[in-house]
Amino acid sequence: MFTLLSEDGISFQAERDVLERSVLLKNMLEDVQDSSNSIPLPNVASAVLEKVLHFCEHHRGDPLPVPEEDETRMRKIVIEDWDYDFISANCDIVFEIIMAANYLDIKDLLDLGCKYVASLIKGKSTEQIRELFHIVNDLTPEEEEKIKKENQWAEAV
Amino acid sequence: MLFLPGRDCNLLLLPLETKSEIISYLKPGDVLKLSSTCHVMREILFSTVFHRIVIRPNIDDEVMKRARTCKTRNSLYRILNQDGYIPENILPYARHCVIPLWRTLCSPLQDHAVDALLGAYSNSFLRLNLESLILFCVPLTPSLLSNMRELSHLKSLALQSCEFGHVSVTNVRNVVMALKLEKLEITKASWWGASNKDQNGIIEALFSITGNLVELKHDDHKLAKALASTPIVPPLQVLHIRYKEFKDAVNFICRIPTLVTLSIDEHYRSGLSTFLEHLTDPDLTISLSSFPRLRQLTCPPKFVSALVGSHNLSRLCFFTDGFDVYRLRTSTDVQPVLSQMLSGSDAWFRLDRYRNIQELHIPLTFAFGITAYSSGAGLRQLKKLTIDVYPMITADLISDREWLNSNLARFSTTFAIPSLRHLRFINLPFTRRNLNVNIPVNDLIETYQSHFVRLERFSFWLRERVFWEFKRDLPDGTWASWDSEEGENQESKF
Repeated sequence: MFTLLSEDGISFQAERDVLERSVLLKNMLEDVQDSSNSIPLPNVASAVLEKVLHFCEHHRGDPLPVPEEDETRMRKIVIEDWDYDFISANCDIVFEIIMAANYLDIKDLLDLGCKYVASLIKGKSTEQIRELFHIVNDLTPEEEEKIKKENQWAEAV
Repeated sequence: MLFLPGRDCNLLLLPLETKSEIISYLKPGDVLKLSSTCHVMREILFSTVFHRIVIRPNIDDEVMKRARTCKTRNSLYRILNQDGYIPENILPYARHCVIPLWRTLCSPLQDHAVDALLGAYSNSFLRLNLESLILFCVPLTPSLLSNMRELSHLKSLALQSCEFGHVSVTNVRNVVMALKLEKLEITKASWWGASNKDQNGIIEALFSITGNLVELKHDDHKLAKALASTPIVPPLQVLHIRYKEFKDAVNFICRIPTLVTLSIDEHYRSGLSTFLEHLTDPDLTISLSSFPRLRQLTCPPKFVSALVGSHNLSRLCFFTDGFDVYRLRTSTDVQPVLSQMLSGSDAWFRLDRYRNIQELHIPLTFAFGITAYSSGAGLRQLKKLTIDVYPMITADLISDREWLNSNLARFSTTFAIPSLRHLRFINLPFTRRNLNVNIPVNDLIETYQSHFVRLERFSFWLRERVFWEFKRDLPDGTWASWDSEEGENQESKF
């Protein structure tokens, strides 16, 4: 058992094979045999770390994802049932989960977060996307008009 | 509301590579909408959005009015005054361009007006680094072709349903000589207004560059003839060709061992009799073992008699779209002939001949004639099987139910391959009404489920362009009707 210390000072315990879903932690643990010292994670809040560990726990022992060969193709969003339930139950902190997965280098969790966010964007209007992600419209009416004109040259209008 | 207001973390603050990861799952339309939300998103996504551009025939009414009345090309060209020019800031990012559907707009105009408009709209070519260009339903004009000569980075050119009647042989020759193309597609060309001499000259000009092509898609049988009569051996990997004389096709194809994808169609000079003609000349066969890299082959059903030797195919379609076999009024001629072709072939009636094929498209008569000779000789890789039901008419299905049922039962046993995920029946001779009455779809799915245990999709396409798709809902295994995107037509892309 190893101990992780979250940004807000809460400690979490997990076994090696759970933590090794994270490439960052796997590298850190390579040199560590005893588990007496806790590992500080100054970028991850406890509420997020708890979810991340839950995900890693569920996927312990799964083969690690391999990078896709053809990165230019538009990819399809395919999400397993458990993963979908997990990410949608935590949709209020999905960006924190993505940031943590990015920092800890957990590829399958990062992919899941990205697919989920993409699935939210799909089919929505510009205004709906702004509402969804609280994006402040900082464009002047003139700029909006210019964008509208430019967009006529894009593939999909 | 999904995200609490005022939180530190949101879409805009994600690292750039993570944003790109999200974008990679979105369709161009969604990326475009996202790019219009705010400054940051616009900046990040600008190059993605305008990597592919479309030059649409959006011309305002005032200009069109002038175009209708102008007397000369230049009088119209002068007043266009940059109308239709691609905005400066987009130019550096465009790599792929589509010019769609100008024909309808141009049809009421005289040639010189069309030339002025297309000339103005393609003036930006000089400053674009395009790699690919698709013209779809466009009248080719001298100014348009002249501007195309400036596309020095162009590798791929597709002219789909374009009109060649307004350009000269020299116009075409100058373009093809100036470009260093690797991929060329010319399909459904319209020659209306071009003399025979011009048509032949243009085809000759096009074929003069085939020596460098790795991909050629062409549906004009004259080009097939021209290619057959020269010693050129292009390094082609992809070839789509239409022929009139079978020997032309064979002579040319057999010289290209580099082929990976080959699609052959026939110019049906005498309708059904061409379609059902036996290819029995022993000197005119296609030895598949001479094409070690060939993975995908599409050819008319009668080719079954001409294909010999071992193969490495992963996709095989006995299919033709040049002749409308789908509107056959009788099946009495068709079924026995197709059956004979199969039984006289180099063992294409044996299931093990299709080993390693992942996608197979065959007429129903072939499906009924293929047999698994020994147990264990089944296919391991087949994922998608399409059964083309054009050889049958409605009367066949009603008059001899016993024959049909016994064949269907045998077919189900033969093709009960565990790897099969998608089974399609296309060109079914039913109307929506009689299908509901005579063949309840749910019962059919029920029947097939017992044979095709791991099937995930089941398609049922009627000749009257009704597409019924069923998808198995995993893990509970129930089937539900499903709206597939496969039936979308090409024009909707634009």
